[in-house]
Amino acid sequence: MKEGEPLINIDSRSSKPIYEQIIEKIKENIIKGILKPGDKLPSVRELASIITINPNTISKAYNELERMKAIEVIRGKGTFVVENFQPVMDEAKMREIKEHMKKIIIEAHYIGVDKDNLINIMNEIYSEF
Amino acid sequence: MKWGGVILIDIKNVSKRIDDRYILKNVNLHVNKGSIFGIIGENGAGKTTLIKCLTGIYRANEGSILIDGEEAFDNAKIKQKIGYVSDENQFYSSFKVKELLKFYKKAYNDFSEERFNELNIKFKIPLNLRVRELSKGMKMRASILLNLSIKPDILILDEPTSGLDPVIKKEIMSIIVDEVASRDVTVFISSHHLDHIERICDNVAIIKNGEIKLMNSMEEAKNSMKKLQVVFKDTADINKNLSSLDGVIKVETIGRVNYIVTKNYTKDFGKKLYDMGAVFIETIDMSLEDMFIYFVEEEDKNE
Repeated sequence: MKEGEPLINIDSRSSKPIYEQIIEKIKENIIKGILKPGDKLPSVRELASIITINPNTISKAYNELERMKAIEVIRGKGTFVVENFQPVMDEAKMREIKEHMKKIIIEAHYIGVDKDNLINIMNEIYSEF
Repeated sequence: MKWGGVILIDIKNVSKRIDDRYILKNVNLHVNKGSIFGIIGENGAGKTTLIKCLTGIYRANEGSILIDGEEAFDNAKIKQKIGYVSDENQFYSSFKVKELLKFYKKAYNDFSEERFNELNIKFKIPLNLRVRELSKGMKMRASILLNLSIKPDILILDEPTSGLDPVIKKEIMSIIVDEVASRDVTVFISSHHLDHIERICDNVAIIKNGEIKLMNSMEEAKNSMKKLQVVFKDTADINKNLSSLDGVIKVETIGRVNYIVTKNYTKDFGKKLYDMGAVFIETIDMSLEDMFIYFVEEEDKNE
């Protein structure tokens, strides 16, 4: 990630706290392969300046990502994407995902998209990763 | 990490009277070291007066303002460590920028010309121009640069971005954030640009008619103030019932849809709405600006 390519867009209007948005964007970048295992993340100070966000908020997000074992801090070297990320199932998150899917399925139903069609769309999205 | 850290600025029961009018009424605030504190309020709410008390320009009539444990008024030692960027430029207009530098060097023990020059690589303020020849943006940048060059522990900024173009605004925000990250500076900022406040502040306070009406962490504020879009099965009397719910500050009904703004949202709130017969509930995003407007409206209504 370099200056001039802001891969972390923060929407200050969103009700979602900014540190959660940072966590989500970094996870998304890892899943999409924009950030690869072993890649160096900008320091708290650098990222704070690039996206003009409170440095305390950024270190809170980094700490949380470290706790999730998505990134690791190597003293004196910086913060890196971990080599082999092992996702951990989170019950609360799972419920949230289910809620989202329910909404999408209802919406799809109303515009005449059936189950098979929806599954195709899912496969399509998976193939992008 | 600095959550719940050391209190650097402690404002206790401060009142300030100018002539016969109370501009500040029993203000209580505290700011932790290394954090960014934002104060927002309408024009004339008392922001600048509060800042002038904080910087030791005004003496409070009642209460105390402690900075790092010491009273700020008439305290040269404390003032050495405070960088103050005022809303209107107060430099001598016939001074050249390089003369201002000399002036600052004489006034502040820790002033570093080296640091000024280093920062000026980005800001490009021509040293040979006189203050009156500088544009508004240039003057503001010069003021910020000079105050960063004194290596302050506390940076107090009174509407540093008002009337400036978006590029300079972003640049100023960036440099403030960088100061906090690199030197652990404590920042106290007033602004009408609430989108910036929202991005950079740990804590915010709303001041209205000289009183602090709300003080919270940015995150807490976002979690507790929500706007909901709700549809009920049975619509009779619903508007009145909603208005009487605890924490609800506004209810608008358009057709079958009710828009509810609450200032203390909890999970129970949704449950309560379902109990009242809600069939559809959705949370709508609210920016700090939206929150501020609803809050001020509510206060006006209660006056």
